Amino acid sequence: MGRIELLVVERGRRFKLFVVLFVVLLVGSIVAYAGMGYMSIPISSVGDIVFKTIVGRSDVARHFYGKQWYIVMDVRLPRILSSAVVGASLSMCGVIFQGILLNPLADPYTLGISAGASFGAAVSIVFPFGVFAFFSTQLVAFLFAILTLLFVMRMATFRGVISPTSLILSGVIVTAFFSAGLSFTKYIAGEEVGSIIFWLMGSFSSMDWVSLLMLTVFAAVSGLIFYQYAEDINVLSFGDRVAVSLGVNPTRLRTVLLVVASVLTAATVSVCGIIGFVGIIVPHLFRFLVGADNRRLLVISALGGAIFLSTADNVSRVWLPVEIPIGVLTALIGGPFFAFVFRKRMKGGHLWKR
Amino acid sequence: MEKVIEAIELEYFIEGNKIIDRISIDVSKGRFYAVVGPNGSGKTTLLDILSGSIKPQRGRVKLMDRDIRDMTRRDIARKVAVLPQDTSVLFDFCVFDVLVMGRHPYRDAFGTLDIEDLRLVDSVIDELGLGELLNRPITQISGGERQRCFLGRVIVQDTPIVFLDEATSNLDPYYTHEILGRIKRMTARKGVTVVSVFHDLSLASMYGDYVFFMKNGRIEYKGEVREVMVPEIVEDVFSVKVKVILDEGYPHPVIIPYGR
Ligand SMILES: Nc1ncnc2c1ncn2[C@@H]1O[C@H](COP(=O)(O)OP(=O)(O)O)[C@@H](O)[C@H]1O
Ligand SMILES: [Mg+2]
Repeated sequence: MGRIELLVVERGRRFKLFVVLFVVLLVGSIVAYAGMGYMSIPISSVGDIVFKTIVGRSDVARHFYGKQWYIVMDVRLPRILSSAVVGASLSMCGVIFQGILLNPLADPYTLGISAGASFGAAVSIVFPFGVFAFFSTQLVAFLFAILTLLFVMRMATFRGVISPTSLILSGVIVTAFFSAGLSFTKYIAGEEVGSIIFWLMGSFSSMDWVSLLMLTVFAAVSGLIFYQYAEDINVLSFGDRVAVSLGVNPTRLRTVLLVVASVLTAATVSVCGIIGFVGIIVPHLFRFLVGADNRRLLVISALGGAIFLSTADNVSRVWLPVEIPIGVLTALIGGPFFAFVFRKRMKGGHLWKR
Repeated sequence: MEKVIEAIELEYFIEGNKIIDRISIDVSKGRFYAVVGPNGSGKTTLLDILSGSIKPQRGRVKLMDRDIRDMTRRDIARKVAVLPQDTSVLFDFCVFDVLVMGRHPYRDAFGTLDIEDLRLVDSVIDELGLGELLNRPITQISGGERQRCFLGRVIVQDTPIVFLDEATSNLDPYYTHEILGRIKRMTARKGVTVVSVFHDLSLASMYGDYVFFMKNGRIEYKGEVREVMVPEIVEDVFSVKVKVILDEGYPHPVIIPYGR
């Protein structure tokens, strides 16, 4: 075996170690969090409840554990798992947006998807009649997000080419427009303004298995697509000309990934509101750990994002005297932590130049 | 001689402006072609058209006897490798990652690399002396080392045609000659064909066998180095006065601009 094979094998081993570690950590924290709360349930019971339910003996478990079964299976798990899936989704989307926009500062909301969704949600809350009477707030938010995406893509296309700069600029314009629209809607909303703010802040408190399942399907399918294109994104990070010379079609790649990542982002926004910070910070954090390769970064960010967001939600749900909106909390915990890691890393003269 | 690129009557417009104006060229196997011309004369655009990266409104391009329109980007990437002057480095991939990217056009549906790919990468690492740098992020090495690493990627791509777009304009003389020297040897040893845009006319004369002079989207002059690297042509194309030193102990023409 030559030096190269050794290098490849050694890096693979290191990465696999991280993956195993993170999977264990994720499963462990999900089980642990399911036991925590107003009524404390031992981890062994949580494990037993989940196991019995999965293998089809839920009636036995239900009979044996009574109220505990309902708390774990109907209240806590959907919430914890949703926060994990949303954390994973936003983190993966962050990796993708940073990759295709060639901008380490991009996140899933850069293109105005969230602004569009927020505006749609606000409008449907304030004017619950006409077409909006038929659609739930969630659906309206989702549709507005998709419309925003289509508009941004149209606006950013010149001579059949979509460039990162034009995308970001279009995103900025659209975000400004919808933010103003949102402010105006709030201004005229009167009493409804509370519901708008509550909706926007995001929460996992009312998650059920159906939304969770839907979200999981979205996340899994998108994740597979992302992973399939990860190598192309690596090539794209050296600019369009190099990407083309290596056989990648930048505009097609951007289009496919934009659509998939935006739909996934829109799905998360429509079920649990806007949760900032995760999508920008998690990819950065794990780039420090596994390097720039988008394949590895996607996997590790998905796991890390799931751990991060489920933990943040647990902090809010269990340890704080009052629940703070999850979007606020992520920034409150994540901010100082990232500042610390960032400073440490920069002292070592790393991160990106220019 | 075997033709590897044939371009016929290329025309390319952007919003009514003619960027490429009826260019036809033939490129033969194993030769080193220099492209020179003032800024904005269309050199980069020409390379973009020849590498299938943009489509001309008129005319056609044949690469190794196939119409470029019938080739996928992957097909083209197995024929032509491109080394630009500046490659954006936003994320800290390490040198090894960059070298392996040269095999991107050969990856299968699962994106795996086989042992042959790795062998090739290995030999290029030795050839370019990149062993020490393998694990270094490309954001943390010098400009010369970085360009050597990108050259490594191009060699790993293992194509019969290589395009350079002012690939050495940012480098010191040592790296400039190291990189161009390696490319030149590839033409002799492996029959690789090179088309390279130069700003420095002496470099173009030293490494090129044949020169295209571009101006306003047209090829105004072309020919063997010694025939066309003459004051009249250079002064016409660049609007500067030059002295051309020939046969005074230099193996190739040396061009010295001295005024307008
Ligand atoms: N995207 C673009 N939009 C408008 N004009 C362009 C674009 N790209 C190139 N051009 C124009 O095409 C001409 C040729 O450009 P280029 O091929 O880059 O020249 P060179 O490489 O010789 O300096 C220039 O006049 C430039 O202004
Ligand atoms: Mg140019």
